[in-house]
Amino acid sequence: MTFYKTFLVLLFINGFALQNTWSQETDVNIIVNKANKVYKYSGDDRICIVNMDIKNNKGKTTMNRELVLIRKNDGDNLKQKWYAYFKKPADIRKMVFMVWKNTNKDDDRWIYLPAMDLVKRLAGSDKRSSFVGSQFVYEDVTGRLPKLDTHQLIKTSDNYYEVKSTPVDPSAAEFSYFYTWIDKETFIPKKRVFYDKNGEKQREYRAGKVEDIQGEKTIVEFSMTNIQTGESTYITFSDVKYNVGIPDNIFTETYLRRVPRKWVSYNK
Amino acid sequence: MKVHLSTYLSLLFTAMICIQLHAQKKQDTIKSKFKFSDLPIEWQGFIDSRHGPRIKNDPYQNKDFSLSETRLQLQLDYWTDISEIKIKTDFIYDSQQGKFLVNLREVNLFLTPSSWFDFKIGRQILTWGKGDMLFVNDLFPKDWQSFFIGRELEYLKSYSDAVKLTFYLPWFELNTIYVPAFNSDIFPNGERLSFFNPFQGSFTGDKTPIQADKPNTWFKNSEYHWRARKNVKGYDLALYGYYGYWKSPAGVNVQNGNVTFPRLSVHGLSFEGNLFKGITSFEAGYYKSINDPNGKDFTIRNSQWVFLLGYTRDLKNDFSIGAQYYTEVMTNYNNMVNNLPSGAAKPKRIHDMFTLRLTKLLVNQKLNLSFFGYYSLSDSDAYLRPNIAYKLSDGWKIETGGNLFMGKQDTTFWSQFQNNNNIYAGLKRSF
Repeated sequence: MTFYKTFLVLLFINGFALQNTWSQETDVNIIVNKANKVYKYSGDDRICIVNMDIKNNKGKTTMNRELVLIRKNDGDNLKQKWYAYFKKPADIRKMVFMVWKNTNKDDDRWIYLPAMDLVKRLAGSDKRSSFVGSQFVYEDVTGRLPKLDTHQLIKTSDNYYEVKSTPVDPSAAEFSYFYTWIDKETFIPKKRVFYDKNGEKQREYRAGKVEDIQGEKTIVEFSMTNIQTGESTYITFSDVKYNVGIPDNIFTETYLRRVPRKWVSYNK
Repeated sequence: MKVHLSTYLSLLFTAMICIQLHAQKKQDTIKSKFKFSDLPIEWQGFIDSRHGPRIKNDPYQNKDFSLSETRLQLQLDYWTDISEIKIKTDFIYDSQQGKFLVNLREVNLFLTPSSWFDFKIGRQILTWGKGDMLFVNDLFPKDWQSFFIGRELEYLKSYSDAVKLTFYLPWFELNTIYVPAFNSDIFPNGERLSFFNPFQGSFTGDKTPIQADKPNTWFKNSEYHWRARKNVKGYDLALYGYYGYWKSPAGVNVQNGNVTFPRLSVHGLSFEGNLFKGITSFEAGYYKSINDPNGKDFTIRNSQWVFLLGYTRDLKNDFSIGAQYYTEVMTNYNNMVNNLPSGAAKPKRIHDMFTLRLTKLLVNQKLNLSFFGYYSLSDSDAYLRPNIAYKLSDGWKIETGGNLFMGKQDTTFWSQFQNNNNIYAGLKRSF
């Protein structure tokens, strides 16, 4: 009988512990999902000018890119459409890059090269290669879906949730895990460090200036540094506008050729 | 009838002024401080100098270089919410030919008055279809000569003097293009590149370049192109049509020996989408040689089916790979063979090839190593295009590459260009 009682008590404790783990997991997923929404999904749509300084390991700007970046959410799910119109440098001026971010299959990606009037589809499978020669990879720009990683709440400090994220499919990523420091108040990811397969620091993302734009907390200055090479990329957002009513049809092959001037020159 | 550059320019400037006046009328307030950068005008361009010697002496060419030129390209764009004007001109010093040239690549007016309709008139570059350096339903002019001597890739596409109307219908997008006077490909004619001339049974070089009977009367020798296009859940589907002439010589005038461009119509379709972890595409077209419907005239190219299957994939670390299979199948083969003059070589019914593209980016994507190769199974010949480009900065780029043709027989498609094998190097400054 004692055995039976002990068994019941153990079962109860176990169940409680299980429930506890479960709720903690839910908590961390809630945090990560909320941070993801704040970070990459604020507003129904957003338009801004992106300025990108690519620096060498001595901190000298070696390359500069400027583009108009338009983003639109697909309702409440995590699908999105992105449209990037390049203004600088001269050799890729007027090039357009378009992404349909999908949640259950590879992204659809297009590029338009005006000199040849050529619309080219790009395979959407490799999201871990550099975005236009910067330290950011494509997925840093369009956002990594939370479901691609398992998340673990490592620490809760006064200001931050410290979360460790490990890819579900390790072969699909060039890192082995990353840590993110999420602001407890705003849910903005302030810092993220990627570790390589040897457990060495690989790249470090830092959010700089955050502005309140139309009620949305927006990171307007941020950087990515390759810890191993010392090279870095600094991005600033300017003329950020939310909920401007970007029509859906902007994100079609048609508007790669027929550049939507109203939007691309919106800040003029 | 010929339309001159001055006519184009005056029409465009009139349009510019009208649009500007209209736009100003609409403006409620006029800014007191004028700034040039506020004007809806953008200009850009580049200077590019490139030179390419033949690897071996070509007995059919006087010059050692197939390419030696410095060009300045200037592009001016002006736009309002509903219109855009583009002027793009190349000023070239061609040291291979020893002369200055001005090449007006684009002068056009693009009107986008409504969400269901737009309109582009003037000299323009047009492209569609799914091939990578192979074309099935894209019957817009190509400049094969530029391609074979090592000019930048954008010069593979030559311009059309055309009107393009696009209708955005509820179920699909419809593009219709009218070209009043036929624009042919720019094909090797002997002047820079020698080739095997089957009608003479020998190589043609710069001593005796071939002459062409080109149908080029405005409004009489016109081309018509159309495409209906739709994206279904991320998959691109399209139907195409063309009525005009073969774009490269496809016949011979037996009286004077000039090459000709017989009538051609093409109907086809294409598919492209994200499949098998890469981009998979398919394109097919039926080429109907209208002047020789039964294929009995051996001096005119036979009707044919053309199929293309393509796949490209991004592997990790900025490495991508692409492969295509392309085939042309003559539809009236037996009639042609039965009507060949006695002793004439019998062409093959099927002409097919594989292509392979490899691209690797290094040094923060500043160094681009690329290879593109055609290999024909039916002809056992090949054309290889290796290229190395390095971006010294945002403005400067250096580049070197080669155009290598190989094969056993003189007469097959790639093999006939073997005397032109060349390497080239170039320096480009964009601004």
